[in-house]
Amino acid sequence: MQHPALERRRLLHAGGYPCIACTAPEFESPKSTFTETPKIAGMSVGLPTDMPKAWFMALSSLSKAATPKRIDTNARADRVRIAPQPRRERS
Amino acid sequence: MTAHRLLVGPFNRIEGDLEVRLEIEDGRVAAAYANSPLFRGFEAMMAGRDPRDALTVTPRICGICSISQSAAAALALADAAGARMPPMGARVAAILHGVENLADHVTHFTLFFMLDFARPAYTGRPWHARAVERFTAAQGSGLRAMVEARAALMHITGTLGGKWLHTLAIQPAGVTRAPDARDRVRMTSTLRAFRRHLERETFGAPLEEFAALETLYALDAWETGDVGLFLTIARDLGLAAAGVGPRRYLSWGAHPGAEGRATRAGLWQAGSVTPADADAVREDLAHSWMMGEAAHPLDGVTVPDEEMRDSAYSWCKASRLAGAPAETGALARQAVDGHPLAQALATEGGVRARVAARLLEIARTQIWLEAQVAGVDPSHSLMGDWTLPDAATGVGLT
Repeated sequence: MQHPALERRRLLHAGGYPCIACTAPEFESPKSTFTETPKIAGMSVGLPTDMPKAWFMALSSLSKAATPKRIDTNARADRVRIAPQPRRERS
Repeated sequence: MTAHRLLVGPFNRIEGDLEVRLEIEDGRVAAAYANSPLFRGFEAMMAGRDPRDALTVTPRICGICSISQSAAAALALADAAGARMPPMGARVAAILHGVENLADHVTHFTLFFMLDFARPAYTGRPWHARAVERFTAAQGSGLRAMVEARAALMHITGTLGGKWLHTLAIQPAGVTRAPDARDRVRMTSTLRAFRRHLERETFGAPLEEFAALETLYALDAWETGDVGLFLTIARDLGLAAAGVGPRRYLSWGAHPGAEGRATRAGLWQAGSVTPADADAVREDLAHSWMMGEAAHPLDGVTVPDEEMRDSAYSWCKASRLAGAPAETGALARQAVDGHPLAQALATEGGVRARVAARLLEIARTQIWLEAQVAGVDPSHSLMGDWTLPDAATGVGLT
């Protein structure tokens, strides 16, 4: 089993573990284990009520493709592996 | 002979889920029945769930000791899966656990216990004016200082656990948040500030001096700080002889960490410590509104008696070790650990002993935490891999 932060299926809490939305109604009866989001082909089964599935698929693949390496690496590690760097000067 | 019944409760200090029925004869309590008027049934909630959900569900047993519940759940899963925390992960988990313990002790002493002596019922006692000044609800100078100091101490829980209550930071194979060098410096200065609070307000002297007390005679001679005030009150009201327990003390050892536990495990009885056998634990149901027979927690069931039969009076199961009750808590932990003052207090066994042992544990835990934080090395790994087996049994004791 991986580090919970490594699974990166739910929003990451400041403590390094997944947010389980413990202030949301019916949080106590999740569709699967608290710290995992049930998915089909990489897509969450449950979506926010105001989020049409097609939008979500588009936004999700767009954000995955656009994630900088630094954020991708750090989100899967238990500490900051790549520190933010100043942008290179434009020539 | 005058006999009557007195119903005490609900107690509003925390949640009110406690009620005590007293039968009084000739001005003395002849029998006491402690009842939880609230059915909890957490064991029933876990049935059918993914075992990993224990890390989310069990800490919600309690809004005070949630990290302790969390540590027990993680230990049980680790025991079942054969998982082990890396030493630095175990150290960080133990720091989280110790900080909660320390915060709970100062809260209990100040907000739940000393508060009572500020009541008008004690007007005229030589110590009453001082108790009013220090511990009047929401106003006492001691109360305010403690609340502020405690809030600052809990920053360590924020740093390592992300939040308090109900952190998911403690996992079977480690902890989720790796403190960096800056975090260690912050935790060190937070602990230094809390030590200043304890030495200025609570003890009125260096913690090491209190931790070095060895006899009841030396304890009696302690005059400084709120501890001095407590001992004065205890002498005046005879708290040493009040509320004597079974004088049988059980501890599984506090704060499992990198180098074993912070205190030893065992059963203290009449001055000698023997190993405590977790297999000898039974949950007695004779006076509980629960169906079934007395059983070990691994075998027991939690099925409430909806009829609420007359021979029972509580929704709690009664824990027994080898058929007899045993006291747990700070006094038990410190006596089993072999501290000379705690052993003398264990023989005394009453209200004063419990509170004094809690104070002793405050001093010793603060000193222990300082050493633990000093040993935090940010370069180490805090989390290992683990696999949940298809079928397994595990026990987690804190």
